[in-house]
Amino acid sequence: MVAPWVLGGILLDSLLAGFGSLLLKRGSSSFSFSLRGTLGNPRLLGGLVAYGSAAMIYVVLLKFEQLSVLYPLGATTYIWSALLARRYLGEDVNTWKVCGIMAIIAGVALVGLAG
Amino acid sequence: MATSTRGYALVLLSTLTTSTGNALLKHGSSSLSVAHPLNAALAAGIALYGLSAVLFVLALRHGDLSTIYPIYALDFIWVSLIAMRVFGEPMPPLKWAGILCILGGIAAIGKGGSMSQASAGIAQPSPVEDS
Repeated sequence: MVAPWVLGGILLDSLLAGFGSLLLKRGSSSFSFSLRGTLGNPRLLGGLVAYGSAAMIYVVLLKFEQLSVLYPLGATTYIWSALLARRYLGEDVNTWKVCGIMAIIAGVALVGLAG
Repeated sequence: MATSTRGYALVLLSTLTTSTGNALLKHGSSSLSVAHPLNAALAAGIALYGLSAVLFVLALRHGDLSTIYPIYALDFIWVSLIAMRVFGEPMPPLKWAGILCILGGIAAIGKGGSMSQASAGIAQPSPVEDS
């Protein structure tokens, strides 16, 4: 059984990564190949920081729970990013995309279970 | 916004880059020690990770987040194949089933992405503009 705080932690962590993807998307339109361009792009920078933090938190959570459990729970990021894309970017999240996300999460769960 | 061929190509390149970087990190980690905290394989792996991030951001520029982001799951497939072929790690049937599932999901996402392209501009709320 997954400890409640680990479950809450990994779901929040996935949400953080989802927000990271939203910020990267928002920052991507004004992306430029320079340090100044990156530092002067708060959305891009925020996205990178959110992603980096999410990855570090994931590694910490791995100390307390098996990969086969955390893998599929971490894949809920696909759900969060789709919901955020619909809410904040007005993207069309149609039935095909919903089915695709479900299949990917199931696939990630199988890969995780197989070890 | 629709997802262009360039967007699909960039996210594909990004997953290939990050999984190659992953393999180099794995290779470099075997000779890692306190005395030698960095070797050529590790440095190349880290550089490829950075390049992959740049390619991913460029892919997002040319496509929908809800299309590009899930396609990034191709990374799972490349890493599994590299683990099997290069590092000789076992590939149980359950893992193959998972990979097929992910592939099917990515195909569905591609289909969904092409459909939102067709309906774009008809009844879609306009994307939030950067200020």
